[in-house]
Amino acid sequence: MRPLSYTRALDVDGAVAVVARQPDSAFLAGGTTEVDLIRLGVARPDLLVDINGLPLRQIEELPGGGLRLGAVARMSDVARSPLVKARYPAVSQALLLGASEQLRNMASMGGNLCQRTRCAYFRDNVSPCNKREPGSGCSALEGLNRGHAILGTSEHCIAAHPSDVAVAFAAFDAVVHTIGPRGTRTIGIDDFYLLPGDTPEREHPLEHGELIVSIDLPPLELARRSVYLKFRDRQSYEFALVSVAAAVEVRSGIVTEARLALGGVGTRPWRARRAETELRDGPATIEQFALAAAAELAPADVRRHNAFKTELAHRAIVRALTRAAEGAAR
Amino acid sequence: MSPAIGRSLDRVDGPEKVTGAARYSGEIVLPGLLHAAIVGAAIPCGRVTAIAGDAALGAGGAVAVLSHLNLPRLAGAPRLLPSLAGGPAPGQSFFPMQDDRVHYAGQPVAMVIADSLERAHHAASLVSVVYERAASITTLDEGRDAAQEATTLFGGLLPASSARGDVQSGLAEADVRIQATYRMAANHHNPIEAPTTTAVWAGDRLTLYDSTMGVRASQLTVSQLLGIPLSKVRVITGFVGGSFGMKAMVWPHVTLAAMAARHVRRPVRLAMTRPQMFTPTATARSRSSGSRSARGATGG
Repeated sequence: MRPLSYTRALDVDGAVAVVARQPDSAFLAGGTTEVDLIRLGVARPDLLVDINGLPLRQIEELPGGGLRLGAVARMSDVARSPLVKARYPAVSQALLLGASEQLRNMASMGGNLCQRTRCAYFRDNVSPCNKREPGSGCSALEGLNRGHAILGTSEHCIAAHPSDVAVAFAAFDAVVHTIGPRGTRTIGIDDFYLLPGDTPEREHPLEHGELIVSIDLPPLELARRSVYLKFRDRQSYEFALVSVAAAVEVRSGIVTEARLALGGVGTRPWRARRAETELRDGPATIEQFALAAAAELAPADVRRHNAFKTELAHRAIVRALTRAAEGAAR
Repeated sequence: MSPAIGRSLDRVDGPEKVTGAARYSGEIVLPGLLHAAIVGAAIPCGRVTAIAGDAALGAGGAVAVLSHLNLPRLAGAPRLLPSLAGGPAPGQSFFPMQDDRVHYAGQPVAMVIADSLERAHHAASLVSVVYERAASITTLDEGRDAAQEATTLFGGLLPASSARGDVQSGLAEADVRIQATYRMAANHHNPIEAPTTTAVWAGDRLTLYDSTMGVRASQLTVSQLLGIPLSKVRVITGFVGGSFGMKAMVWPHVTLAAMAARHVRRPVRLAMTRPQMFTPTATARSRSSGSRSARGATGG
């Protein structure tokens, strides 16, 4: 492991100032991904600014029925919060289906949003990888790409985004609040995740020194009956091959509103807007759900080992929508 | 019938293991302990033409860089024999860092000793190795043409072939014949504790805290390779740390730990990393097996 310096931030402004001042510095929250990447030599900060002591662990109600999650609130705290379970069950389910209990006890919500891909070529610190070493090439295009994305890919990167909870956040239009060297900012979850395009090294619009301080979940009635499904190679402690966050509003057999997002298949947490359009004002039937899934997956760009994800995602979407509709029927 | 059958029994070492009180080989703490890290070859076949350890030695905490340039020669050459034979069981037919040859990717070509595990690995990453690459054979298919018929198996303990009856006419007369080739990919053992050896010398007496299935195999192997009397080598294993059979053979790191400790005159721990579980330790090799069988119509 490369030698590095470590300091503990006493307040948000101080943390931002220290990181903003030093180019090769980084915030340290739970460290459950970051420390791994430092040990692997993939992340190479000279200074870590520990933000775990900052007063950013709140889970609080917002006027109108939304929730605010502090950036260093632990995954396990958010997953078990009665407010989260009642208003956004898919968020709680997604958190509990991620990582292990030990990791969830340590990992922060802000860190979860910023976690890096599990692409083996990114992490091995040797293979060409445009995300790690811009311009060096993408080893996954013709390499082992079973776990890789089929939506939002580019010829420069097909790495899948690994977060579960960010999928639920995408479905519910979460909002990210930051404080940076140039003041505070509010970034919608859609704008928070960038497509790889020809700059896969840039995954979100944060400036150096800009710190996530909280994540807001806006009020959303249908989210109370949301579901999160996850399919993976083993039943625990594994990243998704395909996951689905779904919530629907059904009146007299007609879907009046739908929220759908996918994990494991996108280069970013994948809001399934094409499917949502297909669902709205249509019948709450398996046939219609299948049409919606097909619409979303039509642009899928599959590779040698990950073509199965299209069918798996199709079935997962139908199943998730069916479950969500069962809970929502009235 | 044994009274134990059908009853639930507590493992003797269960409480120690689940409470963390058990001390594995990688947890033996000795005064003045140093840590060694192996630099694995970056090529599958060829020669090391230059090694520069200056940057590694300049890194914080690094004490020594060992390679074929300065590692003492062994007293005895390793001879491949299963540990079951009751003799030295070196696991490989050569010992690394005795010359400049690279036989496989990941083969130890240098070893760095430092005052902490992290600093040892960081210093190891700074060792610069220059190679001359030679053509390599890394798959069964690539090596098929150069393959030769084995005369013995299992380190010479068993004949490679045996015959009984008249196979050819049996096959010729049969009503049903089945011929198939079965291929298996290579497998790598990955026990919970990667092989770890802590070596400490007191004068000419060597003590090894080793994660091994056989203290005797470690003792015999190190004694033979280093050319020191068996009575001067003590091997202690508290907990094996899992094995899947891989800790039956005595991989080079055990002897390397002893050599490192002798070089720096302090206790040295050498722990395999998880990636090294795929290189200088055990591998269940990929294989291709052909089978022919025949039966008469009545099953005879």
